[in-house]
Amino acid sequence: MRKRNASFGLILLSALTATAGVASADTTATSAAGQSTTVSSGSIIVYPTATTTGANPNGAALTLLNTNQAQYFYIRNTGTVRIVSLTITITYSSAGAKTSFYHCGENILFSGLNTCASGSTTLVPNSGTTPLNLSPGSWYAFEIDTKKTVTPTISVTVSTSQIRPALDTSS
Amino acid sequence: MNSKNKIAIPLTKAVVFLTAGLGGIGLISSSVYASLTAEASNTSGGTVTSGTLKLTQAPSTVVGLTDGFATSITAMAPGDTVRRYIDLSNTGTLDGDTVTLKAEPSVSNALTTNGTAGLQVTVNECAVAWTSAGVCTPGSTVVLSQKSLLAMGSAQSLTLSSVLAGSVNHLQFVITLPAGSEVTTNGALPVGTVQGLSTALTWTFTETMRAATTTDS
Repeated sequence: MRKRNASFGLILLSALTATAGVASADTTATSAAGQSTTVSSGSIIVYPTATTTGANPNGAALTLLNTNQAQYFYIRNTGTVRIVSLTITITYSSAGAKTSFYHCGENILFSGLNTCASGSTTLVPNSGTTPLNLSPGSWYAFEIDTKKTVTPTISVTVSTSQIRPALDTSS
Repeated sequence: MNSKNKIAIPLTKAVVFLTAGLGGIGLISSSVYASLTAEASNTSGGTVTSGTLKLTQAPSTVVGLTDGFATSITAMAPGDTVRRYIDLSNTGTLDGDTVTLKAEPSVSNALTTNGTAGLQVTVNECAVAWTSAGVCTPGSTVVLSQKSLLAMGSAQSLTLSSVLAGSVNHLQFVITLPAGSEVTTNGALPVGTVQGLSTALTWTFTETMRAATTTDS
């Protein structure tokens, strides 16, 4: 019985040796430790907010005051990708509100009604796509002036087709 | 003296005589059947050496293209492409047969598991070193058509121009994040997004040895 076990062991050892022999015919080159390629993707995070430093509402639209006076809000880019346009959707608590809608330049506040602290205002369409070159870490100030007492709600969307042109780099 | 009383030889003497007799016969036999041997051996050469199969990869040494695999790729936006340059060398003494490439991510996320919107890899080869602008003057060839990182989890065959001992393959890795159609709403990224993710890729080349040969010479 002991002899039979010994024979089986020898056969098994031979099989393992043969397998190792085949495997050793391959040579492998692997990126050395610490030399793996870390790849990270950017993010498009753009949202409306009541202040220039407002936090990400994580999907919630911005509801302004119920008034017929001019109101101001901001659109921030806290992501890592510059955008070239965005889509602003304004809804009102009641129909029939006629609205004047403007923005100033990047990181420029309004200093008065329809007046920017620097440069001139830009008229914004009440709905649809708005060209806006908004860099990461920057914001735009908007003025919305309704002629009727309503509560405007602002929603902003950005698709991957509204970001800066694709980059193609060799290094 | 009785006739029956023949010359008496003591038993011990008889044994001695018999032994001596047999020994003598043995010596005679030995002399008759002694074998003859002759040897011949070489006085030079006869050295046997085994070959080696070695495969190494290193960043291109062309100025401007030296990032290789070690330098991180950051903030890729959908639609972006990053090209990296690697020299793959057979530094052994044996020719290779097939070469495969595999990329293993340190972390699984949409970049590595989404075969459509996740990272894509294409490998091109230039017969000479790439220019510092990333151009192949004689024209490049595709050695691995576009594959998702998901597919790269399994070894993919490379159709290299040469796998001979001493050969150097000048490779260009084209890493792309497809443009996709994701929409961010009020700062919220869509479910399953490829944005804001990170992973570390380990690239593994594997080369098999040429077929074994039998030579008569």
